[in-house]
Amino acid sequence: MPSRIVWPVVLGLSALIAGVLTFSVGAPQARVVVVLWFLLVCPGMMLVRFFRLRDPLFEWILAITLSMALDTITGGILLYTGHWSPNGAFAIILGLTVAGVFVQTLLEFSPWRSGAQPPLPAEA
Amino acid sequence: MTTRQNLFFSASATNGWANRLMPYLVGSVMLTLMIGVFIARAKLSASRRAILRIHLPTPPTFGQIGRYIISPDRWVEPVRMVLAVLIVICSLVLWAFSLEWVDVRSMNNLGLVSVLPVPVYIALVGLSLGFCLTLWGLDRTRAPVLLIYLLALIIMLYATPALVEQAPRFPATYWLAGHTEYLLTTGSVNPYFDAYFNWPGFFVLTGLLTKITGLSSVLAFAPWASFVYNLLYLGPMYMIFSAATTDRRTIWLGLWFFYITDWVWQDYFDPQGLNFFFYLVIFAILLKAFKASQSAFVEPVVVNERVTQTLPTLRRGVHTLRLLPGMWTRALVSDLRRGIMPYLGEHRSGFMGWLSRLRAWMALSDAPMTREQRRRQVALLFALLAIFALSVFSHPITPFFVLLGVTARTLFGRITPRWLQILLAVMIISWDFTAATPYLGGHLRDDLATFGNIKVVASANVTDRLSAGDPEHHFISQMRVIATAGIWGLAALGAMLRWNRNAIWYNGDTAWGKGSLFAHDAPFVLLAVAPVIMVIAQPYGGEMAMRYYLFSLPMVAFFAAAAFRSRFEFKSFRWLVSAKGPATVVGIAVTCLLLLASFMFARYGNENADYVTYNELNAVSYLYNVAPPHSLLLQGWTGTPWRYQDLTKYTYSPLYPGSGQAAAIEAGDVQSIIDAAGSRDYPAAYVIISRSQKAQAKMFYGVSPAAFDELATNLLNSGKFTVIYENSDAEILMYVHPHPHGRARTPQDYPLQAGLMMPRGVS
Repeated sequence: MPSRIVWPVVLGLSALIAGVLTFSVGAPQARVVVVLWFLLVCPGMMLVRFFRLRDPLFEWILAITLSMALDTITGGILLYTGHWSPNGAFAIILGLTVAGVFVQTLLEFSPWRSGAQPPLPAEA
Repeated sequence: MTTRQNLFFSASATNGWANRLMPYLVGSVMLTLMIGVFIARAKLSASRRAILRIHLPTPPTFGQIGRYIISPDRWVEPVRMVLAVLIVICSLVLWAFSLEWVDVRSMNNLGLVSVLPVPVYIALVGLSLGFCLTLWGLDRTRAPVLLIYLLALIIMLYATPALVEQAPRFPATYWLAGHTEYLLTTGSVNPYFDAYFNWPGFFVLTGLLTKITGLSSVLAFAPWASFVYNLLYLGPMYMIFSAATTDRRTIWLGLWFFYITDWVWQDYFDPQGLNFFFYLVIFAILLKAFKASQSAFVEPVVVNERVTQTLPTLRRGVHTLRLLPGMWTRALVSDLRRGIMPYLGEHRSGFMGWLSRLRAWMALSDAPMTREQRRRQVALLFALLAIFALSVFSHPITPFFVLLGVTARTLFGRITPRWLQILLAVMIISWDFTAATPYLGGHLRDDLATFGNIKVVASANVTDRLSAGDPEHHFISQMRVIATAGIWGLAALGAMLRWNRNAIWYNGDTAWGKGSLFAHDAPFVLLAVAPVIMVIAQPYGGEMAMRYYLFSLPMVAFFAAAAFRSRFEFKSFRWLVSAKGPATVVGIAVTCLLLLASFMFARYGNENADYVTYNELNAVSYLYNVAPPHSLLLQGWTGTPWRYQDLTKYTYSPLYPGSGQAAAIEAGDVQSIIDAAGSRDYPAAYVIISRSQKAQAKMFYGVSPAAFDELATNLLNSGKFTVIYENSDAEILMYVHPHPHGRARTPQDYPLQAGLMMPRGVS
């Protein structure tokens, strides 16, 4: 699998599994692990992939910190607008992550982003 | 044996030998896999190098292949690596099995040190020596091994309390858990009730994590906070150190020093621990992506004639000390000029002049960048601002530490954009004077009254802490002073040696400064020194000095490590003190062991007062079950693990509000307690006396535990109180009185309990 689609796939699957475990299926132990992984890594990693840092350590640090920032700021906005709801905040973060992954995938495979030059016409 | 069970699973699932052995088995398998990966990696790279070197005209014979395989050059490095990893595994296994023998109940006021079995110390010493030996022979392939050593150190030093103690340690943990519980149950925060609710970011995050993971309480993961925080610190600190030097020995040794000197316990389950991580990440981003162009600082500047003339003397070292103040001052002036003067302008005066200088400062061009770099920097700037916003939202102090660091670096022209600190200041002011006004409205005057009052600051931060307590606690306090002085002394030496090494270079008969005597280290010295303003400004209940220690520690640890990596200018003994000389390695090992010993006393010296037993939690849980709303809950001393629920439902109070509590308890005064408990404001009143209260009172004020027993007897003898709950670690007394607001509560309403009633989230 090309490296540029590994993270979109991982992020998309994480969002899917975390959403399913939280909103429907029980599996409490798996839910702890998957939800922690999702909330503490995935939203930030979705953002960091847009930065194109090319430094794995820097990417991971930023991914964790930005995930916390995104979670807290989303929850904080709901809190101060009088609509506090952990599940609502989670749904928003889930949506943002999926939307980000979608945009990222589009950009990855768009002709402008690939940098591929159109083939030169053959000389007569 | 009181080993703590894994809180994520039910207690029944963790019983039995199979489950006990499971963590060790999983750990051993993982480490074995790691060894396999390292060996394979080393062998593959060695083979690749060998194949590239060999150009055989004919295919090799079996003899040649055999000699190649058994040649020592091929195996020495992998064997060394395997031995290095084996030391880690042996240390970890020895440590893990030894924890089975820890009995926290036999702890004295020397703390955890008094109950840790000898094999734990053997494991720690083995790990330290293994690290030093691995560091000594560091090459490209050994960096991952050093990472394993660091991870093992973090596990052994920071996960121990969570593994050997029963319930989450430290009473403040329960109080903070109560804030999260309040948010989850009410869906709001009450900034007028408690200062922490003015900066609720931490509780929003922990509330989200608790609720969405399906855990019943934040107490389920609170014991692991210290371990997780310290794991998180590792990445950004590595990045900061990497920005300061390319010498990997200094980087790894600096990281090691950090973890064996971080004794201040600001990394329990609290907003400060998390915000320190944000602080490190912000500076990692700044140092990685926003540092000003180095070319601005490497222009040669002729050092004055006096330095040039005294150059031979300077090299000898002794006279260097005499010249330091003058050179230091010149460097400072030079740096200030480079940092500030270009922005100030010289032609106008008055307000317009100020405005023009400000505009010039804002418009000062940064180092040229490609479009891609510029785009990345803008993205990182937004990321930095988001992280800072989170910090502003979740902690009152950390944003000021960030602001001070950024301002100092900007004034010295070390980072771009130069307007960043203004934006950060606006963000702090915006939050503090809008959402946090309930706190500021009541405390701003008091805060300003103590601003800059050195006497108050020194008294709250230093003298009060050193003068109080029993003899064992005095010893612990002294160990803390020694540990702090030791690491700071080493850091000062390291900074001076680096400065001496980097300050001047020679071209023929002329001496040149590298643009500035602070050319490279200034940003890092500033990171360690600038936050001291916070200590002078605010005592923060006697804790600001501890916060300063924490925030300066990364750079202090870095410079302390640099002390072992910079040569002394003693020509005759250069072989002895060279970077890889035997004396240096022995020096590193001895320093590591001394710092480690002081760490164990300094960090875990208060543990006897800080650990919490299930019995104490049972008592508090029982109290919550029986106490009607708005009751008065009195505690014998601070240290009760309560307020993890129903934060605003009760009135919590000490037995003797105000100062003189120790004298009142020793005097056995019960009348003031009866008066408070008999108040018509409360439907019921309870007094709880627990093990950790007695331990705190003895440790910090020398109050005998017998005084509490005597006080309880006096209360019972008064006829106004009766025992409604007791176990070996706690007892609850209830005030008995007829009350006009409802039916009088009698002891029959509270049958004597000794059963297990654990609070939510604690199994």
